[in-house]
Amino acid sequence: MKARKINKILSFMAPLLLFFIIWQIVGVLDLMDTTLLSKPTKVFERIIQLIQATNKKTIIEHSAESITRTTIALFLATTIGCSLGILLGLKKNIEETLNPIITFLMPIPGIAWAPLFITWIGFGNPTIISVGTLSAFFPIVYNTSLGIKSINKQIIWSTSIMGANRRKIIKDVILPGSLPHITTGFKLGLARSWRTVIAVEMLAATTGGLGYMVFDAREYLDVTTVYAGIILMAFLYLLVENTLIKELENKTIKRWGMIT
Amino acid sequence: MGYDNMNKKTIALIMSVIVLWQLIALLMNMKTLPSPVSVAGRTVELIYPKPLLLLHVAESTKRLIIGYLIALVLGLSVGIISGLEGNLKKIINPLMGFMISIPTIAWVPLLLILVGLGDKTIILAIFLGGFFPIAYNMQRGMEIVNLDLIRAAKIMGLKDIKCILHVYIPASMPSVITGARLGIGYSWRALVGAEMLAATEHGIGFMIYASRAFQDVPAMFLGLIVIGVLSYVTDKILITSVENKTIKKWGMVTQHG
Repeated sequence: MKARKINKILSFMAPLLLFFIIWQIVGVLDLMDTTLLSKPTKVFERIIQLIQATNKKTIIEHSAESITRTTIALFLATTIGCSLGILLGLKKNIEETLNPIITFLMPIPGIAWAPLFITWIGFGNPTIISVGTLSAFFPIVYNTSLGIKSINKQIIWSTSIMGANRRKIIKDVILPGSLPHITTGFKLGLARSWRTVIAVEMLAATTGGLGYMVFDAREYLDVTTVYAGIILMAFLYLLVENTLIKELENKTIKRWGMIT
Repeated sequence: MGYDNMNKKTIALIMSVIVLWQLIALLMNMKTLPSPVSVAGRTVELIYPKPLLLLHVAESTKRLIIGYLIALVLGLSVGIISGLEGNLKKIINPLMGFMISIPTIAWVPLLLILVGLGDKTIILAIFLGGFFPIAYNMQRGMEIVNLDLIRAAKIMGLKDIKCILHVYIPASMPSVITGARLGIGYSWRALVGAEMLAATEHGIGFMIYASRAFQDVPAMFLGLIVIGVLSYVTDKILITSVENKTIKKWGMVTQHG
C-alpha cells in the first residue's frame, strides 16, 4: 500500500523533473534569451530568498494571504451555496424561478465582477473575498440542488412511511444522498475561488497575496519571481487537492460506498 | 408544449427581474446601482453614433476564436498522440496535471514580460486556458475506446490516420465534447482576465476595466450582461449543436430534459 503510494508520487514527479532538467539545459546553454527564460536553479534560489526576505513580505506571507482569502471565500460560498441549493432542490417553484438567473450568472468569469466590486467597496480584502465567494457560489448551489433532485424518490417515500419526520429525512436521507454532488460542487468551488482570488489580487490587492506578488514582479521585469509564483501556485493547489479533498472523499462518500 | 411553457415562464421571469431591479435602483443611490433604464441608455450611447460596444465585442470574439481554435487543434492532437503512445502518456500526463493546476491568469504577468501588451498575450492566455482541459479529456477519451472496435477496423484494412478519424474520434466523442465545453469556459475566463490586464484599446474585459476609471457603473453592468449572453451563445448554441449532431444522434448519450 505504502510502496504503491510512493510509486505513484515518483511517477508523477519524474516527468516534472525531466521538464525542469530540459529547462535548465536550455537556460545554461543560452539557447534562448535567459533574461526572459530564467533557469530552474535560479527560480529555486529565488524561492529560498523570498522565504528569508526581511525587507519585504516573504513568499510564505503572500501564500498565507491568498490561502486565507480563498478559505474565507470558500467557507462563505459553501454556507450560502449549500443552504440555497438545498432549498432549490426541495422547493420546485423556487427552483424554477431562480434557475434561469443562476444559469445566466454562472458562466460569467469571477474576475469580470472585480471592477464593479472595486467601485462599490474599494480595493483590498472586501473585494477580493466577495468576488472569490461569488465565483465559488454558483457551482456549489448548482451541484447541491442537482444532488438533492437526483435522490431516488422511493427512498424518501419509504422512510416517511416508516415514520421519519421531515427533519430526519433531510438530515439522514437527503443530505447523505446528495453528498457526492455536494463534494463535486465543493471541489469546483475550491478551484474557482482559488483562481479568482489570484486573479482579483492582480487587480485589487494593495498589500499582498500570490497574485499581487506575481503581478508586482512584472513591473520590475523580474521573470524569476513570476516563475516562482506560478510554480508555487500549482504545488499548493495540487497539495490541497491530493490531501484535503481526497481525505474528505474517503471520510464521507467512499466510506458509505457511494463511489469506488 | 412544455418547451413553449418554459419560454413564456423565462420571459416573464426576466421581465419581473428587470422591474424589480428598476424599483430597487430607484430606491437606492443611482451611482452604486444603475437602473435597467440607465443601462439601456448607456447601451444606446455605446452603439450610436459610434458603435464602440460592437467594436469591443468584435475584438473579443476575434481573440476568442483564434485562441480557442489553436487550443482545439493542438489540444486534440496532443491528446490523440499521447492517448496512442503509452510511453508518451506517462510523461505528458503528470506535466498536464501540473499545468492544469496553474490558474490561467497567472500566465498573464509572464506573457506580459515575454511578449508585451496587446493581442498576442491575450490570445496566448486564451490558448493556455483552453488547451489543457481539451488535451486532457481527449486523452481520457482515447483510453476508453473499445479495443475491439480498433481491432475490427484494423482487420478491415483501415490505415492509421483513417482509423483515428473514423474510429477513435467518433468513439471518444463524449470526452471530446466535455473537453471542448470545459475548454471554452476556461478560454472565456482567460479572455476576460487577460483583457483587463493586457488589452490596449478594445475588448469586452477592457471595456469593463476601463469603465472603473470613470465610475461608469452602467457600462460595467452592460459588460457583465454581454459576457453572460455571449457565454450562453458559445456554450448552448455552439457546443450543444455539435453535441446534438454527433453523440446524441449516434445514441451515445440519452437525451434528457
